[in-house]
This record gives sequence, C-alpha cells and structure tokens, in this order.
Amino acid sequence: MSDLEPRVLTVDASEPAPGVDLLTLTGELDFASGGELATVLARLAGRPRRVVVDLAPLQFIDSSGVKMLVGAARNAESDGGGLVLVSPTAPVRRVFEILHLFDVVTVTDNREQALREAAEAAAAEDDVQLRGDAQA
Amino acid sequence: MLRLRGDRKLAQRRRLLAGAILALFALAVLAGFLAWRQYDDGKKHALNEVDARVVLASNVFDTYFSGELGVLKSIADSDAVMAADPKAMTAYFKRVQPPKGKEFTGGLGWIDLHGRVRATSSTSAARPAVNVADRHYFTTVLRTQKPYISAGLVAKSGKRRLLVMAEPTFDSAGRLNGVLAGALNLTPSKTNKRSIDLGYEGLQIIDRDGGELLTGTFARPENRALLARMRKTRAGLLEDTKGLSGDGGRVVAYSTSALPGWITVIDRSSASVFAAARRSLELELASILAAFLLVLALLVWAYRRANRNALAELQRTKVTSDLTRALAVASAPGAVADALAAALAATMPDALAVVALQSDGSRGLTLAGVSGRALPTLDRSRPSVLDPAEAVYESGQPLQVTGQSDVAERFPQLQRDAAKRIGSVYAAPIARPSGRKLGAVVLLSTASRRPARNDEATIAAQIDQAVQTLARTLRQEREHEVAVALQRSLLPGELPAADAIAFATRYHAGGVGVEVGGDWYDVVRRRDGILHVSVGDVAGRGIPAATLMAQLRNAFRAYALDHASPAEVTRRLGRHVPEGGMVTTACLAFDPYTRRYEYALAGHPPVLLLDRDTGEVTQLSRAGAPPLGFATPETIGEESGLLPARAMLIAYTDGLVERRGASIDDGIELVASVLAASADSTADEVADAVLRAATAAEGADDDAALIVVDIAGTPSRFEIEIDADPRLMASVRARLQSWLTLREVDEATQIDTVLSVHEACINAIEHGYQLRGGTIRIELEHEADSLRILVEDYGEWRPPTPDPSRGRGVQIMESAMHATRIASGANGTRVELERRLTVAQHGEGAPV
Repeated sequence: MSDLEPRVLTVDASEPAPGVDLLTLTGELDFASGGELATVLARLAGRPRRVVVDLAPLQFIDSSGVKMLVGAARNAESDGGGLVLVSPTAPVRRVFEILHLFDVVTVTDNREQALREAAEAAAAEDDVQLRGDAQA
Repeated sequence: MLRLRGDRKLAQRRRLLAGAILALFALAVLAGFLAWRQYDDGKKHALNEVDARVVLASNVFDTYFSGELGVLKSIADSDAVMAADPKAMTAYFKRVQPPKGKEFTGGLGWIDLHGRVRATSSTSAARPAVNVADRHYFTTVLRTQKPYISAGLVAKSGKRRLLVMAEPTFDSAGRLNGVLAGALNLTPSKTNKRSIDLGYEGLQIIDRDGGELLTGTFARPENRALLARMRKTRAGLLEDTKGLSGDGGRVVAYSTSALPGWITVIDRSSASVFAAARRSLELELASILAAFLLVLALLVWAYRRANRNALAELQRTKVTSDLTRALAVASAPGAVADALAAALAATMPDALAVVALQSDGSRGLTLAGVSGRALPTLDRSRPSVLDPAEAVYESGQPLQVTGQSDVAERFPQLQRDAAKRIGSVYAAPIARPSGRKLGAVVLLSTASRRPARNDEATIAAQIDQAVQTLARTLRQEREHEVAVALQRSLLPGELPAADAIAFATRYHAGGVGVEVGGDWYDVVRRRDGILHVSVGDVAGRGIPAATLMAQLRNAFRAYALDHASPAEVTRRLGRHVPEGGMVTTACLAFDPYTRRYEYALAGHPPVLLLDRDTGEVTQLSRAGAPPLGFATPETIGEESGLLPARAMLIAYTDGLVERRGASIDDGIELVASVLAASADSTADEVADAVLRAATAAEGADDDAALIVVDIAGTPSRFEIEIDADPRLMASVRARLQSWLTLREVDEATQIDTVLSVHEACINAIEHGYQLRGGTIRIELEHEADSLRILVEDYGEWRPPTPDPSRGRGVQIMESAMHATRIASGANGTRVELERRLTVAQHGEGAPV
C-alpha cells in the first residue's frame, strides 16, 4: 500500500544571513527518521550559531524528535548562540505542550522576525568577537 | 429398431390401402364412363323413336286420306252420279253418308259444272241450291280433273272445322259432268296421356297453308324458319333446336305426307325426350356411387381392424423407446423416476403413475416422480399416495386391489384423499436383481379392474429397464456428493470475520459427475489488518485440477501474509502453475482502516464493486494480465482506488458468468444488475441472489466459486500486529490517522491518540525488544464515549531505567490520555490507555 510508505523527513539547511542557520523540516520526525537531522545538528555544534528551525511543513514529532530539538537548543545556548522554533503545526505544538517545553525553547510563529532577530544577534556577536579578537 | 419395424409395417399397410382406394376409384370412373356412353346411346335411341313415330304418323295420315279418296272415287263411279240425277244422288248420298256416318262427317255433295250444288247428304233438301263456283276445290278439280284434298281447314261455313276432298265425276260416256265433294268435320284433339304413352307427345300436323291442324286452332307456327326448312327438306330430325313456338331446347322430327302435302311434326322438349335415358343414367350413377362407398367402407374397416393391433404394439414400442432415451440421459434418480412414471402413465392411460424412491439416510420412501392425467383432484403431495408403495416396499411383492370399497378398506386415507375415485390400485416394488430395494411404483386407476396381462408384463419390463439406470444415478449422486464434499473440504471453512465487514461465499458444483473442479475462493487477513481476497480457477477438472487448486490456495495464503501487493502475490502464484497449465485469478487487497484497495487480474473476469449509497456498480478490470501459465511476471500489474463508505465487492470465477451460446459480458452484466439491486441486502442474500440468477440461465453447468465482501463502514476496532521496527511507524501512524478520521473522531483526539500509540510502540521497540525486533500488537476500540487503546509487546521485562526519554513517552501518554495503565511482566508489556470522548469534542475534551 504505497502511500502508506514512511514519509521520510527532509532537512533543508541554509544560511540566509551570516551566522544564521535556517533548518526547514518537512515530513515527520520520529525515532526512525531523525538520523539526518542529528547529523546536521552535530555539524552546527561547537560554534556559537543562531539557529532558526522552520517546523511549518513538519506533520509529526515524537518524544525522540523533541529530545533532539531541545538538546540542540541547549547546545546552541551553551555555545553562546540560540535556537528558535518557528510555526509548529498542531501535532508538533501538542507534544511541546504536553512536555511543558515552551518554557525551555523559544517558539514563534513569525518566521521573518525570527530570521531578522537571529541575523541581528549574530551580527552583534560578530562585533563582540571582533572586538575581543582585536583586544587579544 | 422396434419402432422402425413397426413404422414400416404401418406404412406398408397404409400404402396398400391407398392403392386399393385408388383402384376402386378408377373402377368407379370407368363405370361412370360406361354409364355415360349408355346414356348417349339412350339419347340416340330416343331420337330415333321420335323420328319413327313421325314417319308412322305421316303414313297413317297418307293411308287414311288414300282410303277416303278411294271411297269418294267409288261414290263418283255410282250410277246415280254418272247419271247426274239429283234425286237418285240425294237418296244414295243419304244412304252412304247418314247423319252420324263415319266417312264424310262434314257431308257429301255433288256440284254440276256451273258450280251449283245439286245433291247433298244433308237432310234439309228444301234449301235452295248453293253455288260454289268460286271455291278453290271446285275450280281446281274442274281444271285438273284429278282428286283434290284441301290445303287446310276450310272454315267458310261458320264454326265448323272442315276438310274438303273432291273428285271429278264423269257420265257414262266419260265426259266430265260435275264434282263430287266430301267434307270431313275435324274434332280438335288435345295431347292426352295415352298419346304421350304411345310416343305421340308433341304431335302436330301442319297443313299446306301452314296452319296447325291437329289442335284445330289454325294457328301458324311462330318459327317460320323451321317451317320453311321443313317444307324444303320434307323429312328430318332436329336435335336441340328451336321448336315451332320458337322456344329452344326442343327435339323436332317431321315428315311430309305424300297425298295432302301436310307435315307431320313431333316437337318436344329435349328433357322429355331424354328423360328415360337420363333416369337410367342417374340410376346407374347412383348404383356406382353406392357400390364405391360400400367397397370403400369395407376396405377402411378391414384396414383399421388390421392396424389396431399394430398401433397398440407401436404405442408400446414408442413408450419403451421414450423410456430408453430418457434413461440414457438421466443423470439423477429424480429424472429416472420421472421417466419411469411417464412410461407407466403412457402404458396405463386411465391411471396415475407414482414412483417412490428410498430416501437417503432415512428408511422411508419419498415421492420421486408422478405422471398421468387420471385423478386430477388428488393432491399428489399427500403422504397417503405413498401408502401402497410402502406396502409393496415392505413385502417385496406386487399388489393388486380392485374395487372402490376394497381400496377404501386397504388404503382408507388414500381413498379419502382421492374422494373415493380410485377404482383399483396396482403397486410393485423396484428392486435390483440382487434383491436390494430401491423403491416402488404405484398405479392408481379410476377403472375398477386389474391391468391386462399384457400391460402388467409391460409395467414389469419398464421397471426392470429403469432399475439399472436408477442404481447408476443413485451411485453417481452419492459420488457427486462425496466429490462436492471433497471440493468444499479444499475450500476455506471460516473466513476472518471482522467488525463491519462480512463475507459470503458460494461454491456451485455445476456438473453432476464425480469430478471436482478447480475453482477456489479465499480470504486472508494479514497481521496488519489488510484483507486479501482471492478467487481463481484451474483449467480442467478432476483430481489434478483440484490438487493444483489446493496448492495455489495454500500458496496464496502464504504469499498474502508476506506481501501486501496483490500483483506480487499473483506473480508468485504464477510460479506454481505447471508447464501447459492454465489458471486464472483475481486478487484484491483492501485496508479496512483506509478504504484503499488494490487488485490484479490474470485472465479473470472483473471484480465488481457496488457503491451502496449510489447503487453504482464498477467493474474492476483495468489491472488485467493473461492467465497464469501464459503471463510473464512483468505483465502482471495492479490498480488501486478508494472504496466508497459503504461498499459491496463480488469476485467470482468464470463459471458464474459463462453460458453456452452467450457472451461472457452478458453474464457479467447479469451479476452486475443483481448486485446493483442489492444495496440493502446482506452478503449472504447477495450471494444467493447472484447464484440463483446465474444458474437459472440455460447452459450454466460449469463449476463456479464466488465471494461477496460486504463493507458496511469503517470498523469500530483498529487491530493490527506489526514488527517491532521503528521504520514501520510512519505507516502505522498514517493508517491510524485515516481510521480515526473515517471514524469521525475529533482532531485533538486524533493528534493525542496517534502520538500516544506511537510513543507506546517506540517504548516497546526500544525498551521492550531492545531494538532487536519482535511483534507489537495494537488494538483500538472506538466506543460512543471513549477510545480504548492497547499496545502490547512480548519483550523481556526490564526494570524501569532512569532514561529520561522513556519517561517522556510515558509522560506524553499520561498527559494525552484520561487513563494510562502500563503493566510489565515476564511475557512483555501491556500499555492500556483510555481517552474519553465528549459529544462536543473539538479540543475541550483533551486532558493536559
């Protein structure tokens, strides 16, 4: 029954502004489909990045997916960056709601604003860093 | 052969009769011809007779007038006349011709040369002398000095009809001294009976002036042409001519007399002339006809008498040959019984023939055949009809009861049921030569007499003739039942019943032989809840076909469990078809939770799909391939679609839709039309209706298998088993989502339910089975006010680990559901969840 084949998760990664990573998740993120996303997130780790994750085309997320995103948010913050989730669909929002994670992660429905703020923050950090480098 | 010989004999006899009748007819014609000839002769004879009469009559007149003239001459020669002495003459005349004298009834007279009448026979002598000098007879006699007869009637003197004769008189010296005249007083004559009898009917005399003398009318004949002709030819015979009066159809004979020159005529109608001849002809013809009819009647009587026995023989022969023919084609005991009953009834026309056969299983007899027009008021289904049969079946001996009262005594109920109309009962057992009893025959007759010895022998012969066939058909029937039982044993008994989905299957054993067919039907419910339906037909019959059928059915079951695709199942089935074999199949899989279906056909008629809400029937025929045995795997494809909310599917083998002499499309149309009219029927009703319609048609004698799937809606239970493989979860979620949507569960509940089931499964995969795989069972039950969920694994029980992610899964379930119970044991973990539903759902019911 062909249309019941697993709809794979596609991860679309781009850098709309310097220091800003936009990840668009399409499909369903679950225990089996998170592999590619884990790879992409691992590549981002270790650097102070501003990550915007567009969840509008994501139809499903399970606890393991949430764990992945929440972990990425923590890592980004501890690296001096940040992660914003944009436009989660009802099923996705429901998981965050049940797990009371809206306090832990930043969620917005305004993708443009999220990207703009991320770009501004990245630029500010660049300044700080440049200044720091100069001082060094 | 017997029939032919009898026919030939009859035909021979018929030809003989026809020949005799023909000969008789020829004789009659010949006799008729001769009679006609005789008639012709008779007519000629009659004509000659008439002619002879005329000549005779003419001669009579001649003779008469010659005599009269002789008399006159002798008077003229008397002395008184020669002396011309009036006194002497008067005295002499009176003597010769007294007043009532016979000779000259009109009187005699002597006339002197001056024309004065000087002497007459008349009594009145005082009268002055009459001068007749101007009279024709006077002048003529003076001139010719010869005797004279007047041309016709001389009617000068009043009313008297006179004919005048005259003679010259001479004196002794021989000198003419006067004329002696005699007159005849004519009395008019009428044709009387005597003259008719003597052959003088129609006699007429025409004088020289043309007047008709005999009747004294002086009338002149109308037919002047005839008169002229008669004068010219003097004598003759005219047949079928116009008579004197001018009327046609007359016979006229005439002869002219020499002396007075008058014409004697007989003028009669032809009919009267020929009457005698005609009468004799009529008599003769009547005699011939009577003789003809008499001989004909004799012939026919002899023929029928000779034929009666032959016909009876022929009838017996015909009954026997009819029975032989019927028995030759009889394939069931019922047909044998019918044929025997018909033969018995034909042999005994005033009897009702009943054939009872031993019923299978029980020891009693059942009515198997009835025939005959006798006793129309007797209800043939009455058990009493079988009473005589039971009696002879028990005794083994024939039985004869004669007379209404005896019948009433012996079989009271039967006689009551027949309203006392039965005059005699004859019954005989049907038994094999070995003595094994098969049944009995009964003849209920309205006549109170036993069958003729001849008929009794015939009945016995007919029973003997039927026994062999009866034994054969009884054996075949049992064998057929065994074969059908075998066939059924090769087909699935119980089909996977499911909530909202019902199946009905039928196997129709077309033939009556012992051979099993190669048709099958089957349904497999996969662990994942998908239903696979298959029907197929192995070409050929008998054990090889049935064996291959059983193999294919088992293969189908195995492949259907492994492969969700009907095309793939079909391809793999193809591998089991041996070289030269041919199998047609229809495989259809459908998911009751999503309504999606897929199908593949190989040389098979289409599956029919009814939308029960619109009544529309669709033929699923697009995914077609050649039959297995011919199809290459690449040619086998599948087509898919979505079932309507309420659907009915029927898959069948071609025996259901094929008829001798009819298009298979007509058969499919017939099934489709039955299906279209079945929107509110159950699967069983549809199966029965379809089978009834299909087998009612003439020429439907092949085996047929059919399966009806009634999909009344979306099942209230979602029940699947999956492998503990996380990659399968997307599909499970999609199907679950579809099911919830079809069950019209609110969206918030859908989200929470899909999420909770998923988390429970992931827990089982990840922790229950430690990612090493296993089976997970998922059950959901949708009730009016709740959704109950069970997710079960059979993994090893592990003590709870502090793994936060597992905890998160449980947290999700506990938050999304109203009740969560997780029980882990040695045999695995059961997660039981409950979500309560409110009537007004839309999110408010969601627990957080």
